[in-house]
Amino acid sequence: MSGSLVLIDSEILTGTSASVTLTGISTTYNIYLCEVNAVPTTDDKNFYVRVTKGGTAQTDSEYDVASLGLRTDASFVDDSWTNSDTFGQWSAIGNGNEGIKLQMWLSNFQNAKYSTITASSVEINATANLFGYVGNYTHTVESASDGLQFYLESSDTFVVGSEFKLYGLKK
Amino acid sequence: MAIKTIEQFRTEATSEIEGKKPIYKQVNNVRSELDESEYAQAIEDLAQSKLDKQDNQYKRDRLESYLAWREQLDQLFWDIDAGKLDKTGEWYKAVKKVKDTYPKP
Repeated sequence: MSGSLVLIDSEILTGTSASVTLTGISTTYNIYLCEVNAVPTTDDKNFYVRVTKGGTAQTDSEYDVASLGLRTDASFVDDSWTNSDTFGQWSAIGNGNEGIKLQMWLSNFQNAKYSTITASSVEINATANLFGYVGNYTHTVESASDGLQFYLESSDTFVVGSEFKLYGLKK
Repeated sequence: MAIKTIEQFRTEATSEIEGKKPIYKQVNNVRSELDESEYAQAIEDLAQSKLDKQDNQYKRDRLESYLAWREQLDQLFWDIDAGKLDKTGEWYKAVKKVKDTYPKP
């Protein structure tokens, strides 16, 4: 049905994993939505994202970020940088009933333009404080990207049950 | 605290990643161990993370500790009102405390 979201990839962990890759972005859809509901095994770990091209996570220094961290326990934080090797870092997320809930709208992944993301997240950090991040994320390479890789600081693992889903918005 | 080089952090990271093996990834609903190049990337990521923390964590810690700008402006108003726009003022003491707590390496 036109105008509906179509599930393309769903990774629900049945064993702990240090990285999770969502695949399947192509020219089939113009806009993609990614949803993450993840918890680290170890408390206080930063959360990172990279784009993939040909299934390989890109580790070049082409990641630009302009984001704002909204906090309940301190001043809001401008988190902005250029030429990083990852879209990190979302804040140090805690484990237990915590972790990160992230929604990312992906644009121009399927064509030879910069891959761009508009994202918002809800996080509970290691000291049980609420964070919200809103931001724009761009991989400044003019070529198609076909997926996203998620990973944690220090190769920590996502717990069993962590969910990563990719949808396409049907034309 | 001694400042470490990226090479020293790579050595530390190599040891830590070796100690964590096997490390798994999940792609297309298949869970498998990282390959050699992915282990190398994990080591590099960890080393760069350590370097970043050494060089920049104090900035993040300070940002999280400073009062919101509205509260800082309020402190400044009352310091000016009390004729204490110097090192005896509340604003200066609060900022100094944060900088001292999280010194630049």
